[in-house]
Amino acid sequence: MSDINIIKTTPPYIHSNNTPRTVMLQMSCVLCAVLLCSVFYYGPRVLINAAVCVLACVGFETLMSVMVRLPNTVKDMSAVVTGLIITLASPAGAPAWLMIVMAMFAVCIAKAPFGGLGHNPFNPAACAIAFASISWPNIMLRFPSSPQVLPLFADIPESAFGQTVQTYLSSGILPEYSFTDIFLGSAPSAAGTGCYPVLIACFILLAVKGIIRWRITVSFAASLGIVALAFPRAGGSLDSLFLELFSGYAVFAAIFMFTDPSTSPKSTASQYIYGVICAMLVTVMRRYGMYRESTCFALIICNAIGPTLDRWVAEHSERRYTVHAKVRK
Amino acid sequence: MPKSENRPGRQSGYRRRVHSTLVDLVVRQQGRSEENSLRGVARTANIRDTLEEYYPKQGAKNPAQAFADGIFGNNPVLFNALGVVLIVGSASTVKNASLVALVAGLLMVICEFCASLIYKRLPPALRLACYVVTSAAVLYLLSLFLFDNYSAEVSAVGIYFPLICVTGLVTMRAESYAIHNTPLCAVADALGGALGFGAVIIFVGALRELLTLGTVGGLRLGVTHFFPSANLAFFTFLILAVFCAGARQARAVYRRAKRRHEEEDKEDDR
Repeated sequence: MSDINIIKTTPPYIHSNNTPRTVMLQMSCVLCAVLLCSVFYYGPRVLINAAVCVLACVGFETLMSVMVRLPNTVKDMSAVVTGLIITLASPAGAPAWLMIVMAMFAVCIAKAPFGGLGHNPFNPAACAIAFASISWPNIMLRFPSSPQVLPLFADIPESAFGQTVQTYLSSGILPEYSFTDIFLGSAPSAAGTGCYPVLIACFILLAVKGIIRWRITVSFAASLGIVALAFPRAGGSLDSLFLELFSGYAVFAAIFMFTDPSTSPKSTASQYIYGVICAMLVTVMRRYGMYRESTCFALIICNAIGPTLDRWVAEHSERRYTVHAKVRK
Repeated sequence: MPKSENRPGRQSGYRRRVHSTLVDLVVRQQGRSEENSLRGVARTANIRDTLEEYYPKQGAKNPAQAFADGIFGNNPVLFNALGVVLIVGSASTVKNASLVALVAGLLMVICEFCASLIYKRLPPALRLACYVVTSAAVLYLLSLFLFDNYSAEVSAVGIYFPLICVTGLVTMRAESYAIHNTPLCAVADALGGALGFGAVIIFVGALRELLTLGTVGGLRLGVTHFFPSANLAFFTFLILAVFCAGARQARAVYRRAKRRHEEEDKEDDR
């Protein structure tokens, strides 16, 4: 049994109140704040989408629990968080049936077959969004301009859609929106990813509460910013820094999806490296990729290399015994 | 050691399997305490263990059993994950799928027959080359005929057509079954395996054709809502995964029922 490593410390042992359920509850409260923002920009249609998606996620989670004859895992609230993230990272005008399909993909294919919460190698929400972006690109990659009140159930008229900042950047010209508009969410983007002041506030709150792995977000933003400064696609360096950071759903993903506790690396060093790799992939995919919104694809690739990073850092660091004990619980 | 390991019956099937795998890994790992622990985990997932688990050296004894096993009980795609690349790459319509199924089946039969008759006398290192050379020769002769008569289908299959001769379908079944058994059994196994592979690839081809073009084998069905991304590789992998899971579940249920039946028979005899 010499193989098991335990951290030896002296008392007192302080008990943390963080359980999966409380963490997920706090996450969903924060996501609800973002949801309110997107209701402010796009009208109550987002609320309907969120309700449909969350209900579908919870329903499929129950179904999968019944199928494998395990106790129902709905109570840990992770299905609610997945549903909210899917809603907020897809366009506000997405039809309700697409929400149900994405919920099914996230829970029944990306999460439950691997063993449920904490065992999924890939972020379920990112998988669902990637699946929908590949399958229905003309729904998922066209965003209505903001702010406007979308019709509740009818299809979105063609005139409601606008050009995203990424589209402008990829054709090498500066967007026609002012920087204040972009920062406050008045440029077309996915439902909940436009309002950057609220997102940054959410990030600070979650980081202070110790719920998310903030190092990933910080190193991601820093690397993305450095590359944007060095190699601008349009305008000057500072324009490029602002536009690359505050466009698409990179910031939203960096706060809520990259830091997912079950798919991101555990040790400090590997979290920084993970953020840098994510940023490089996002940059490369934005510049040379087929899809304008490719953060979810970058995230899935990063999820695949996350455990290897942890192992590599553990093998090459002096504190590897501590890290091992953490990895293995 | 956790208590529950001694009484696995108390846990449900899925968790028990995961748990027993983990316990297995931990137990094996303790034997390697000097080595780096994480490397130990990687090393225990040894490819040789996997091969012995999936390809038992002695399979079915009689030809009829071998044939039946090839179709379902030991289906090359559903249980051994062989020939997946052909299904993902080439099964976009029923026509392409049936062409690949026929060619692969023919290669399987010839290779397994030769393996059980001649190649089993060769050293293992030479055998693999022999399988590939044999199937490449047969494929070359076939392609002379197919390029003239079915050039559209062959060009639709593209690069996957020459790749049939190096697929695991041909080599793995010959190496795992044919060299340990008589030629008759080997041919029966190859025929069964070819039928099993053909059934899966044609079904996947039909599904993909239905979802992308709305037709099955060229016949137009009344489907109007198309799903173009069904033709992409990831979707085919997903379909195959669902099939494999279903087939494994069905086999487990069948074997459980069979075992119960045999036990009841024994009790009746007493």
